[in-house]
Amino acid sequence: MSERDFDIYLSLLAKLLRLSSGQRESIEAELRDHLEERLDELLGKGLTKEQAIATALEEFGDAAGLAQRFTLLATQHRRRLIMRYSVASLCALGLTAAMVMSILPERHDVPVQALVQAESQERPKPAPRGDAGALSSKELAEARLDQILPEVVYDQFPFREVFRALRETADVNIIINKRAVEEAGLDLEQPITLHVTNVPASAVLRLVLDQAGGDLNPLDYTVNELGIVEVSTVESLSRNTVVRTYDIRDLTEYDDATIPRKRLEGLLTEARALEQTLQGDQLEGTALAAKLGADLARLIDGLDAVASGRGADQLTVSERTQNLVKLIEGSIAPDSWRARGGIVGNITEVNGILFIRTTHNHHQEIAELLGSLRDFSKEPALAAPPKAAEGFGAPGGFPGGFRPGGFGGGPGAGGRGFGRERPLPGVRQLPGVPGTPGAGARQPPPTPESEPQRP
Amino acid sequence: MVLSVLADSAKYGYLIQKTLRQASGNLVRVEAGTLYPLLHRLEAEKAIQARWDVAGGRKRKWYELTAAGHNRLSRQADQWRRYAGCVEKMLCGVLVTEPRL
Repeated sequence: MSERDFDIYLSLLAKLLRLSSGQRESIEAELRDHLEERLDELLGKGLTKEQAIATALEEFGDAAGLAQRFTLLATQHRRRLIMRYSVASLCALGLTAAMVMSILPERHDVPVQALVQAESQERPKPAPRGDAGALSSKELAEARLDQILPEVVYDQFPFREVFRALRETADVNIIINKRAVEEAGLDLEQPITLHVTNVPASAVLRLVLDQAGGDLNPLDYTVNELGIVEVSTVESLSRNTVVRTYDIRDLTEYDDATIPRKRLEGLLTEARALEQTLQGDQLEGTALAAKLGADLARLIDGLDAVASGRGADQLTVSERTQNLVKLIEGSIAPDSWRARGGIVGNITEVNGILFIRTTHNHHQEIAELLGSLRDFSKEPALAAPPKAAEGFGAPGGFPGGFRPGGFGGGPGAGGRGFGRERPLPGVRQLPGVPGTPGAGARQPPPTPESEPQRP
Repeated sequence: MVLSVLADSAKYGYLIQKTLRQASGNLVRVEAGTLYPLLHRLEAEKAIQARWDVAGGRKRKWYELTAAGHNRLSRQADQWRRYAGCVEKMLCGVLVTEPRL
């Protein structure tokens, strides 16, 4: 662990905090102070700098979990929820009451704690953005749509009225594209019947749209830049495309020599030490030792090559660009791209800038994808450096594998979910409701919904 | 407990953690991951207030109790004493008494 890793940890933490930049800076400064103080103490006890940094960071714990707790607290204060506290939530409070504070019943603390407990139990956290600043109108609307509604009852309620109700409850602007909806032959007054508990507003929206649209005229919604939720037919929405530019030069025109030389040399030394250990081990002569030896030799060659500037897998800028385009086309709305036989989507590259035409939602997914790539290329090795004589494992935290542009396409590059759908927990739909494709809740395609916990 | 640690003087996060540990005879060990969100919550609830200080080139955030925080602390301390007293009364029949020498 070096000082640079220390800084990386803190900036990663700051990035994960989905708060206003003022708050983020403040928390980062506070935590930095804590860590540095602890560091001084450990150094005073005689640890080396590396040991002290490693210990302090380990004690500090998981950055992602910490960031989540901060973000959750902040958003609780921002939201105006119309929640009815069920008995179940209050019982759940009993568990959270076992916090640092005294074991006295903190009745005045109930609201915040119950919310925190209920929230953390019921749904996956929203994906942290790499470049989160203050929430935009769009993000705010989406956060509001993520609110859990304890109970929703619509009994033969006209379609149009459902949105009025949702608008009030979730505090978002919802408009219906009447022309598109009516053109598709849908009746705005059609009765909706629904009874669900503890689902996010967005899920309720989907269920209602499913009921109303069915298979013949599927309906969908999108949140536009102004934070307005627009409900329309899928067909109409898919024609709502805009062109946006993405500067990808940082992802394609980089120079591999920017990998800090010292770090590489350090890794090389440890890898060689591992090789020595392997050779002196009782495994000598076994198939396992041979395989590990071969792997290690290849690893060392590769490290050597990169360290001395002869990258074995050096790609040209053009190749990296093509890889990136293929990645985008392959993972985000693959059927929409004209290059793949679709109708509306298009990507053109000019001088390191991508001009992409697609829908709002897809643009958002693309932005998240690029954000992931950028995060990975900046902080490749937060994991502890390889410990030389520890078992037979290959060195962990090896930075070489995370270069962008080396991807050949395929989804989930950042290990995040790109879809904006969430699975619907505990949803019951009454049978025989008009417009539903059979009983049972709609199952969106599974997305990797939980963020990998970063050490 | 955090409130009680702040009762006599203002402290910053790391010091609060340390004091909690020392004052409790190493029984109470709060992780930073629990402590800081808690401090921020208390701040939002106006039980404590914070100010920044630049001490020796480093920015440091000091916390102290507000009037509301003091009230809350004494209320809680009161409740605790009553609770503890109640438990002791119930248990005194069960507690082993000192042998008379």
